[in-house]
Amino acid sequence: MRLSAMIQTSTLKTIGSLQGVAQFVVADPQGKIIAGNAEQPTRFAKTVGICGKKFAAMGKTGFKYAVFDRKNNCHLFIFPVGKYYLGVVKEQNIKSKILYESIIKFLADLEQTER
Amino acid sequence: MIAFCEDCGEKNNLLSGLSHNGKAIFTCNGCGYKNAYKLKSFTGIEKTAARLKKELADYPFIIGSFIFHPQRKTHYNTMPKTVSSKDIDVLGILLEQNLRLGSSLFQDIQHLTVNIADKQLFAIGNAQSYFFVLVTKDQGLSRGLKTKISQIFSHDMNA
Repeated sequence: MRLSAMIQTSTLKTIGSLQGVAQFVVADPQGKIIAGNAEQPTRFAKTVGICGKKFAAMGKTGFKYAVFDRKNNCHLFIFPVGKYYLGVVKEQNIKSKILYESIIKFLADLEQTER
Repeated sequence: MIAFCEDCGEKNNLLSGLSHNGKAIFTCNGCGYKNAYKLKSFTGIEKTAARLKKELADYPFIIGSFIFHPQRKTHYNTMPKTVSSKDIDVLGILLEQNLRLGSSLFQDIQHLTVNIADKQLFAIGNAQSYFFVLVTKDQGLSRGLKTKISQIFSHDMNA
């Protein structure tokens, strides 16, 4: 996702209302919080930022997203968003595909708005 | 790791003498004998690797796989020859670090899937700090395949 560095924080805050999103955080590669509604925002942002940076190192510009599958079905997703990383905890009773599609649509709309 | 010379019994400290298939390959410091024998501690990995190889043979979208240990590096490597062992070690380290980071946030994390370009990377760890990594073509990883790998890897390696 190629987005400019200056994404509006107010725009990012709407991620919390997307279908399937239980918690989210947008973090920079050092783990600094840009936006979010997570219960443990500092640790969450740190994990998302550092993991995102390592995924990007593995895949360069080809990194699309990563999923940590959890026993309780509240999977953790990490997406690249410009120079930041978006971490999302999925709602327990919703399919991963639904969450994935709502995030991808949001990011595509965001990219279009940026142009 | 300490390995004993088959010829004279001398203790040899192996820092870099392990091959990828679990053999101790070294020249004895005491007598100069060239040793090349399988280590008992690798039996469990080899058993698991053999099962995985057999079970995954019928999936045409699989590009390759390997078992990784942070200290002992790579075992059972079926990755394409174009991918160097150094690249595999780097990939293993990054996936292992991310699995650990994720697990420090949520302790019930079972495995990790990374989507890069037209490929999927699946990584799972176990209690003995071994990690299995599978690389497939895009959308090649079904829930059934993930479950099958989890069962084989966790069961055999913890046995």
